[in-house]
Amino acid sequence: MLNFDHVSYAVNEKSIFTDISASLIDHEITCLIGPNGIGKSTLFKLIIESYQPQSGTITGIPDNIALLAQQNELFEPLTVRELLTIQRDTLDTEVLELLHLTDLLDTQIDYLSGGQRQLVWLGYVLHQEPDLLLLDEPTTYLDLRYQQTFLNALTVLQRKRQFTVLMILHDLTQAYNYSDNIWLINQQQLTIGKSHDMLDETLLSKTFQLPLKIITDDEHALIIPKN
Amino acid sequence: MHKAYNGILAVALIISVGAALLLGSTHLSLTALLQGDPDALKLAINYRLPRIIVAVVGGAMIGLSGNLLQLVLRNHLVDASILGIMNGSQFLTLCLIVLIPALTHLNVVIAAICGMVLLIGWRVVIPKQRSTMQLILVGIATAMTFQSLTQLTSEGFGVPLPSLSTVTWGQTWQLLIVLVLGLMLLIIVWPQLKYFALSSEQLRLLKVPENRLLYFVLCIVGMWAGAVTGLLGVIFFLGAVLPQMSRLMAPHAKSQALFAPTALWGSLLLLNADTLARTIVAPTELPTSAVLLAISGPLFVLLLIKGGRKHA
Repeated sequence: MLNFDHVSYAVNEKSIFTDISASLIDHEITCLIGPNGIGKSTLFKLIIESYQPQSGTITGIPDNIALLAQQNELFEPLTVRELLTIQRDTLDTEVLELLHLTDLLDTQIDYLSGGQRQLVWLGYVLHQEPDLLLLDEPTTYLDLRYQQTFLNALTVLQRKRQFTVLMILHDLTQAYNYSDNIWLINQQQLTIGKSHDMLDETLLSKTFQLPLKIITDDEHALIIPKN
Repeated sequence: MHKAYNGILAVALIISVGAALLLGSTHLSLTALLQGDPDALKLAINYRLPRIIVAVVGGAMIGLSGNLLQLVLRNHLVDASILGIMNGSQFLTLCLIVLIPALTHLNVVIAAICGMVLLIGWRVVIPKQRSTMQLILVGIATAMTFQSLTQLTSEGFGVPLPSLSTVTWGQTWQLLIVLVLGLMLLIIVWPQLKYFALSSEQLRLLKVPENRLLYFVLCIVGMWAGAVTGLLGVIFFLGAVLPQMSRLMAPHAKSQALFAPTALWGSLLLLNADTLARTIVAPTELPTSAVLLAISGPLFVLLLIKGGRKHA
């Protein structure tokens, strides 16, 4: 289990995190939310060991981590097949079908739409069969249909294959509906809870400095600005 | 498509080799050569043949080193000359020859080693990702500095600078040895080169040893660029332009698929530029590197204007 133990991290003496402790629950989807510039991506960099914390320790970092950013750079004109098989020889047909990539295998990735491209990158990270999948605002540039396809495919495969997901999302409604747990970062601190327990108008309004309203039914939550 | 493209370039190269063998301040006739005319054979074997081999091999090495460097630095606007490596190795080689005159006969091998050391040194000094424009400007400033130091040393100590017109068989063999050494290293690293399609961050997560691969490739590039400089002098921009020229004909090809056409374009350009330099105002010989720069300079400008938006 990925474990943060009293971790502090600062850039140029500006503190990003102060003394945070948290455990990421294995085999579940956790969403990381919080205002812009608060250090969500920095937390990812700490996990993949691009950055080292100034104090505290991060333990239980799995061997096999995959990372998907909101925009992923490709420096050669690869086809979908070439990208997915860059490290292993076999294609995962279940992933291909869920992501509607079967017919696109021999298409060059540059020619795909932004939405298709992001599904290809999801395919790429899933082909690594990660123990921990980090997703950094994966749906930011996608239209509603692709957001749905992306998140549905991710959830279906996660439930089936039981890898651990930590995902940064800006859309609070999506964050609540597609996750088991929420990590909320604000003012250098981390608040953690089960997603349905974290549906707290006051907490969210304070975090995002905007009056928010939560509308719920039995299964779903909708989080919108009050005014 | 690729086979046809490479085939056309190869045929053009064979024709160019024929032309280079026969044309010059003294025109040779094919019949004289075939009949074994001793004077014609002597001229062809002692003077023209090494020069042709150096132009063909050197051109290919410039193209390949440009292609490799662009692939591993993930930057389509650089080559060894733009980073200042060619001028640097020219200066370093010159210094070594001034200090130890016995090394003069090994100048191509020495230049190859200098190129390798300098390129690796460059990577250590500038380890982080810099913007393309910054790399180019720093590189050109470095190149200019080394160029003037080279000029001062060359004139001060009366040591002539290398040129295609003074190529010997000994130097040709040295170049071929460096070529083969580089190709052997390239074969080892070849299957791993595909990983440079991904960002450094992704490679780290895939546990691909990017730095090791990078230094390996820099050895090849430095060695080739240095050796070519030791024989031809500095040829600016050509290594950056050649991969793009081959890409024009095959826009969807990956860098690794462009190795053959890039090498062929390099050989073609260098060989024909040399033939042109030898014949255009014969019997006076023009400097081949100047003829080449007159071609590669404008092409690089085009590349900057076309690619500037994408790569800046």
